[in-house]
Amino acid sequence: MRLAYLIKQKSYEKIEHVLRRHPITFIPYVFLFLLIISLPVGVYFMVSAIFPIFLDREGTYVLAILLASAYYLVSYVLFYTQFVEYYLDMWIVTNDRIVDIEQLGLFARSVSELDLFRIQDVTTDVHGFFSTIFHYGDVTVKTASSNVGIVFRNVPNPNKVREDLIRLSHEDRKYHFGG
Amino acid sequence: MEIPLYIILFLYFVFLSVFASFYLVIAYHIATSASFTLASFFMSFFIFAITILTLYGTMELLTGVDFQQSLFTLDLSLFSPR
Repeated sequence: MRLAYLIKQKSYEKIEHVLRRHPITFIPYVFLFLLIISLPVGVYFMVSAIFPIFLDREGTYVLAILLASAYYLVSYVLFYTQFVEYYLDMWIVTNDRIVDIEQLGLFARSVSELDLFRIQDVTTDVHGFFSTIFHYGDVTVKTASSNVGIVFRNVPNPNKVREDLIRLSHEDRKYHFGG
Repeated sequence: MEIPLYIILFLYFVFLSVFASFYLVIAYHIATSASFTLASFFMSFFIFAITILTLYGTMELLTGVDFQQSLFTLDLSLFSPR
């Protein structure tokens, strides 16, 4: 499916940015995954050392193999799900609106839209050692209505995103209200 | 009553079908959210490859096992009235 179809792109609309979270924010999940898949190896060596006859019986051997296989497959699905949650979170900025797509697990998704001319305030927040070194952070977009806002989480180059949003919102306001 | 070893194998196949359905749901999400890019392709390929490797390893380790043998025996006489 193309992006234009996903956001029902209008004829005059031009996609300016397609933003996702910085790849470095996925690194901790990679390490967690590596830790999880190394656990059965440790358990195997422990069981072999403490209960050496446990795996001699064919019934327990088959049970152990199938349980380990199931454990690995479950960990793959969980890792893949985590990737989908990370990768399918995106913010699409056009010359007319912002579309915020948030994937919440496998069976829930939240989509918000905000017209650019309604933007009152754009704030960037770069917080932490890795955020500073790798130039990623949060961009909070607020409107005049206090209960409507969009947060771009951990996007790369948040200051450039902020500047572009302000520029685009000015242009969109000129288009809607003239002057 | 003897419980044969292939019962665990059937349970494992049921689990595999659930796993496959999750995999298909994830692939569907990637396809329908305009996220089929190089990154998602490589991740999907990686997950698919390690899944195949795991299943192959499982099959290799279980080669030569006699699944007709009994896992354990249930003594039903314990539950019958005297």
